[in-house]
Amino acid sequence: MRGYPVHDPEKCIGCGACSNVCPTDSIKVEEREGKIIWIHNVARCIRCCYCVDNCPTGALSVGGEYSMIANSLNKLFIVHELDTARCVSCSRYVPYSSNIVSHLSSKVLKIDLKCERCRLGNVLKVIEKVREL
Amino acid sequence: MVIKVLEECNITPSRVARLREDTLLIDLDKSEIRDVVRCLVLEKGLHFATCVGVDYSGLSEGRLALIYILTRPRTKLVLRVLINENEDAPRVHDILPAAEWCEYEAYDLLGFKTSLPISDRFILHWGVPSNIRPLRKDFKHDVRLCSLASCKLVEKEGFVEVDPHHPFFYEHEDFLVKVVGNRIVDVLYVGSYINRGIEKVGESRLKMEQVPFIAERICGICGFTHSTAYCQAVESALNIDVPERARLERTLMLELERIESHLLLLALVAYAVGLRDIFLELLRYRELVMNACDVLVGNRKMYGLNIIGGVRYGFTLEQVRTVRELVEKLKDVEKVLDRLAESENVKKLKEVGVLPKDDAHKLGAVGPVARASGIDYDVRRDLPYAAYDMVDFEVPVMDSGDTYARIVVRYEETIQSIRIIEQVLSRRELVNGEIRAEYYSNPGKIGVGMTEAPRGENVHFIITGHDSKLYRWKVRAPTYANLAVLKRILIGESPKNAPIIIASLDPCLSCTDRLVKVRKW
Ligand code: SF4
Ligand code: SF4
Repeated sequence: MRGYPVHDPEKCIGCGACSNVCPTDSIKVEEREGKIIWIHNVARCIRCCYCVDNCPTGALSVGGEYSMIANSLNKLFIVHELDTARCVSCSRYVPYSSNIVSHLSSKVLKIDLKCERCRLGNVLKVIEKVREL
Repeated sequence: MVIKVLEECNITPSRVARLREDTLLIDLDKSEIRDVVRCLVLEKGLHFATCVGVDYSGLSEGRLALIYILTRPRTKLVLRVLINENEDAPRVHDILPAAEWCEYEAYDLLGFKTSLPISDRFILHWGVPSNIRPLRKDFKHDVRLCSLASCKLVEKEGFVEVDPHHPFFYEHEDFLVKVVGNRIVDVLYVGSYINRGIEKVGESRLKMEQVPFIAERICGICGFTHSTAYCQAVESALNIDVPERARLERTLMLELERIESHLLLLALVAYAVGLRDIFLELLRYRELVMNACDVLVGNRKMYGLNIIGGVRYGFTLEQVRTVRELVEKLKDVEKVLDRLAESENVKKLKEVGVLPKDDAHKLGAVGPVARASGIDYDVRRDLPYAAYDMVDFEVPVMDSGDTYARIVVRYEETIQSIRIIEQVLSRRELVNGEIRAEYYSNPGKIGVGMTEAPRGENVHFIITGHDSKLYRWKVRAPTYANLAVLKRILIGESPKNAPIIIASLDPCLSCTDRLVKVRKW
């Protein structure tokens, strides 16, 4: 029996691919107060598991539970919060989950993640220096 | 005691005749009766028992009487109102509703002169001529009312609603059947209660590749054929070659779905004609098909298998073996279906709801309905899609066009479907090879996809748009075409057959109205 998809917040990188492909808009990936929030509305889900096919990290898998019995509407929502990474220089939040950062840095290369402001600040500094020259 | 009560109601003791110890007879004038009844029953609280019409002509000359019987503890009062033939009848039911039925009955059976419209006929059929009053003494007891030449039975006109209130139907539809007497003279179909604009959702919010999942939900029974027709429309628009394995998989699922749908309808027919055992057995066999689907795609319904350019999962050898075992068991369904087709209850549906070939063609009937009327058309054979050109099967056609033929055609199709499934399961390509073709979307391309759904030809028309979205999507479900024949097959039939005749079209109103709404939350 194909049930509703099971989400593993440890693996999820908050990319939002599942939310884009879902035909019924059951999944939302939102950024809120320094967190990336993955919400699944099980009542809307049609158990097509197309999201599972399209998740790049295997954070989603086909579950065995088909029906969801709840005594209040809120329990039909599965909500997972993912931490976002912080800027290495000013420790403001950047809109990427810490999972994707660790994922990338373990696989590809060491990256220093900076927020937009710091990056912009760097660029401005460079421009100023160029002007001075 | 009672004398005192009577005196209070203006009846002097001299008018009271004592028939027995506890039974008093009072002759009243027509003008008095209303006041007396009002006084005795409504003020003094006597119980009104009934009233009796009597034809006194055998005892005294030409008089009629209406006798009211009232009671109180240990006393029965018989109030007799004698009137002449041409006098207006006494009437108390407007002040005492309890007297309504017995007065109307007396008026009807004895022919009192009244000015009330309903009094003409209350007990007898409204077609019996007004000079027939069976309880008159001059009316012979051995005359049959309707053997008289003058007796003309008027047939009343009315409506029978065959809709969710009717025990046989539970979908959102309304068949207003107009009857005169025991004959249907007109049918009005009121539908589209659940049109919630799935086409608009497909055109606006969904990407092309998401639509198959929603298209599958157009129908709860034959959803896969919708998603296949949709995918075929897009594939023909964008010139995509579907790999052979995907086509075989689609064929397999389509035929499983056809068996499942036909068995459901045949089971319901068995239920409707009173063969509960066959109903249960057919549903038991249907369960095998559902299990096969579960083994193959993980769901009993809503397979979620189709995707533009192919299918999502490749079946494995192990799955195919399990399904082969299930299909082997399913073959025994033929015996049960034989019993259904041979039973007297179903055989009496011959000559019921006949749809002649010409009319079937003119009205555009499709699927089993058309094939039962002798139209030899099947999309699977005539416009092959999926893998139907690789398998060998027959298209059952019958000529009589009646309800029985529509049932038998489905029975034969079920057998043919099992044949197709066996052929597909035995092919090696089913478990080897590519399952999906790559494609690129181009705007402005037109595609038409057709499948033979269990209920008939199913058409999806699409125009592709920008951003891999659809520009236009139109669904023509088979029932949409088949409902046109309603008038032709129902008019002239008896209303008691209407449910089974409508059911023999196998109407699926969700498909026709295209339910599904996707809203932001
Ligand atoms: S299973 Fe289908 S409907 Fe449910 S969340 Fe995944 S993509 Fe959406
Ligand atoms: S579940 Fe998968 S697809 Fe969805 S946001 Fe997480 S990583 Fe991306």
